[in-house]
Amino acid sequence: MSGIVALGVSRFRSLGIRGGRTGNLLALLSALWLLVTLAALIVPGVLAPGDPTDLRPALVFQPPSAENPFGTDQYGRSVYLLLVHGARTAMLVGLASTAIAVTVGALIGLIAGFAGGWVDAVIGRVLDVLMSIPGVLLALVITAGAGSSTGVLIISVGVAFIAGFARVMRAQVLATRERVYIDAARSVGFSGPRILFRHVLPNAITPVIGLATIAVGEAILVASALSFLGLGPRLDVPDWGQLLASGQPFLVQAWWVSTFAGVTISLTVVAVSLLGDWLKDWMEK
Amino acid sequence: MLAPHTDSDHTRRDHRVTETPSPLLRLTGVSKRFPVGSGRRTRYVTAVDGVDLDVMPAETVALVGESGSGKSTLGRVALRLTAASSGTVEFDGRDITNLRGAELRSIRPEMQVVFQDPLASLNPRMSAGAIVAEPLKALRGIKGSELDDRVDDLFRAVGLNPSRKTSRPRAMSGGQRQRVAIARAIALEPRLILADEAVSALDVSVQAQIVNLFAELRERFGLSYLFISHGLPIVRHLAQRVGVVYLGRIVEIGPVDEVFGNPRHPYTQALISASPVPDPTASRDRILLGGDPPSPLDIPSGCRFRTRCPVAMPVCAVEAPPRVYAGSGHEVECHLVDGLAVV
Amino acid sequence: MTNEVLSLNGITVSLEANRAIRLVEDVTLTIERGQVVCLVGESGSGKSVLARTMMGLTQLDRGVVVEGTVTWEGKPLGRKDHERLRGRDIAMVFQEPVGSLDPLFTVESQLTESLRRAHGKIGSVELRRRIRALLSEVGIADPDRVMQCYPHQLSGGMCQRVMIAGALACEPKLLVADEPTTALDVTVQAQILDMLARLCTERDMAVILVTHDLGVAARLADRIAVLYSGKLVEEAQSDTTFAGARHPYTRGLLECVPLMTGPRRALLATVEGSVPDPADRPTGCPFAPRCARATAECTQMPPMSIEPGGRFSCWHPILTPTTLVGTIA
Repeated sequence: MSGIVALGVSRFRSLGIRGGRTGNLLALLSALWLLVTLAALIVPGVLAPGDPTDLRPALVFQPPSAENPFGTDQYGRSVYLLLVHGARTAMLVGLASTAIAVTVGALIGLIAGFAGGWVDAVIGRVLDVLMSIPGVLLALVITAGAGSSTGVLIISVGVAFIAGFARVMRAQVLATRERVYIDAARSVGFSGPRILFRHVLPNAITPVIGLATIAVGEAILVASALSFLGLGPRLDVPDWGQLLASGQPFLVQAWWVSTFAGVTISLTVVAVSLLGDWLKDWMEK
Repeated sequence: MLAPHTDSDHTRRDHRVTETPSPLLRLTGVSKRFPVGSGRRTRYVTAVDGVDLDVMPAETVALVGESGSGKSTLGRVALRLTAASSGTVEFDGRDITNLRGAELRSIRPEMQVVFQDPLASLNPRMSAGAIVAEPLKALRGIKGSELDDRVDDLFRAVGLNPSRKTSRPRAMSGGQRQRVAIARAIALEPRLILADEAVSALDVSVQAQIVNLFAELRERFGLSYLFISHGLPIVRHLAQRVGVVYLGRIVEIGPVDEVFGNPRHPYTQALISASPVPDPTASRDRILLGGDPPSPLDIPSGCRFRTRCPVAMPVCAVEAPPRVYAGSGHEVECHLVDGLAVV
Repeated sequence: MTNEVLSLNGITVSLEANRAIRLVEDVTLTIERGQVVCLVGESGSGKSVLARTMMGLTQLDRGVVVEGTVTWEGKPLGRKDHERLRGRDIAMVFQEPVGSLDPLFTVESQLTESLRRAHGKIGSVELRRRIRALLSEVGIADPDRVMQCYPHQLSGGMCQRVMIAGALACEPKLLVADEPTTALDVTVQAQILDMLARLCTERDMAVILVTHDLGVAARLADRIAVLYSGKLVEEAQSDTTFAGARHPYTRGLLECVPLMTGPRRALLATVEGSVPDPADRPTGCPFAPRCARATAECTQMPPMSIEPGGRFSCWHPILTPTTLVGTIA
């Protein structure tokens, strides 16, 4: 599913709506959606008052109505409440794992690109191996081995993304290294580390930042996928992936559970991607 | 001025060891080779081939030549931006040929560079003020209001209004950018500046401004310049001595008036003749060179210029030309310049 | 029967997004048969845009609006007419020789394409003969070898010769050359310029040469048109321009060019300041802010004054002949 959404997003992007007024409008809409999600993360009680874990057997599989805008699941819990309160886990995992991936990956890429020689060669081979394993699979392996908790989920998703960032950063560093102003910095007499962090890094990092925002969306997807497969942490409030999974066997009689969960995941991923794109364009201006 | 050559002085370096002060920069037998290809197929391009060059304090020495001449490489080796493959580089009497790391960095403040493309040589993410302040901050530890004052002074010295400190290079004109680059270069009070085609990418009217700026700074700070250019007229006004570079060797060198007024090497003559003159009534006697500047991968035997030389003789294919002394400080490498003592 | 080849009338090129930003403003220029006209200017002068407008290319660009008319032999050109002329009666040569040739095709294929477009179907034997003739005409000593080469195998000078050969293939009445020698070494430049001069007389071909180098203009031009910040400030016969340009900008430009002859000067004459951004152009004469002779009058755009040797747009033209070029007190 993550593949389909990613493909959809890239197709959408390739329509060329990126710049201009449409692009700005989409970015604005995406930002608004993410603000809502952020609000759900911080003050879920405000957006969705009530206890999401309240099991109400009498209200099993109720279709969407005024009291339960997204209907109820097999335990009578309001899907809407579950989604809002579950936002925390989703966003947390998405942001934290991306943060790990960007920091570690960018650092590795920076060193590999600047040092060159055998350092680069060794790192390059390690990255090749990492990249040859699909992200989900890698995360799966780690989770299966280290057990399921939020922390493990974050780390496993993070590790899956490190290689991607390292590669992009390295490529950028290789290109930036050859620029005349780097030559000029050397000729002034600045030391290696200064050139690396003060001159190479700021100029190499732009696409990485844009990629990071897109990666948050993908991280949410991967985390949801893992939860969907039952490898996620055991929580009181199921995260979006678990909710998606739980509604799956009942798609015919209670389509609203999986549908709203799926739509929420997709919207968030798309919103993050579009915003990331816009940010990337804006930074490159 | 160097003392006139006498018959008894036959050794290579004698005429330079006179009452004059010692050179600021001295290159002796410098060569630079680059590998091309890899593994068993590696060939070597000799970009610079056994060059001797001196730059005196407060002197401007220009190197002129076309693409593939190696003049830029020579400049970079002279300032140790890259290591020489053989020969020695001395700065202010000190052998800097094999310096590296922190030691090399310690002498950098004395020899700075101004590059050809002003926009490319400035970090696009830094403001002009930050670019000029950085050398002072990082290498001299100056900060606070003293730093601000110094940066303002530097801006004024290069003809920029200090209010432009906050602008990014992208928002400035070509001339302004080059001024920022020059301000950065003089920030550490160097003694020698390598100007690598520093005005070639600028508009004509701006070129004149920047050339004047170079001249003013030279007077004010007693700077030496190694000025690399493919434009002869600019060199004529700015430099005291000029060396003509062809395929890695200096084929003619001497005081500017001598070399341009009385060129002895056929290549120099062709270069002067080919320079466009803004005067439609000027004589069109052209010494036309056939062919294109050859690649340093394929250096002709004997005299390397013979393949394009309009007056090449049979001996030119067989023997490398001797270095001949043609007047005060004027040297030429050519078989044709006979009757003069060999340097 | 007019001698006129191409004429620009009141050409103004502005940005669609902001019509107040003008890359070229109200330029009128006529080129006659066999004449070499040099468009001289620095960056921001609009000379390249003007050259492309002559070719009809600016009119096809997105985001720009072209006003005014371009006429060919007296008749105004629409888009279709212009397209028909390109590659047949009008040919163009660009600044970057290696980049302007398609790297995937040999010299022979590219010249074949030019020839076929201009002359329709030609048999392969005849084709080869013509290509050989063209390459020799541009001074290539071994055309058979060069024909089989790809652009990256040739030097800059060779590529430029090939480009010119391609342009000549259609036997154009007008050749538009945009800085054709700027990227070349000075000795190669001299060869190319001499060749262009020869071709011009041999083929009775008009040439528009865009350049920033007054030396190049002196070598080739019959007439010189000086552009500053989008406006035509002076246009005159070459001799007149060098002997006594009227416009202060032209004078300033001439005076700041360093020379190989004459006295060596401590400082070069300069034109202070720099070319304004098209968005910041002052009303009236664009050169006024940098001009030592400017007065309040100069906030009004001066009209073209016409003289026997040429025309200029200035309230305070310089009437004395040029003294030692490039002197400063």
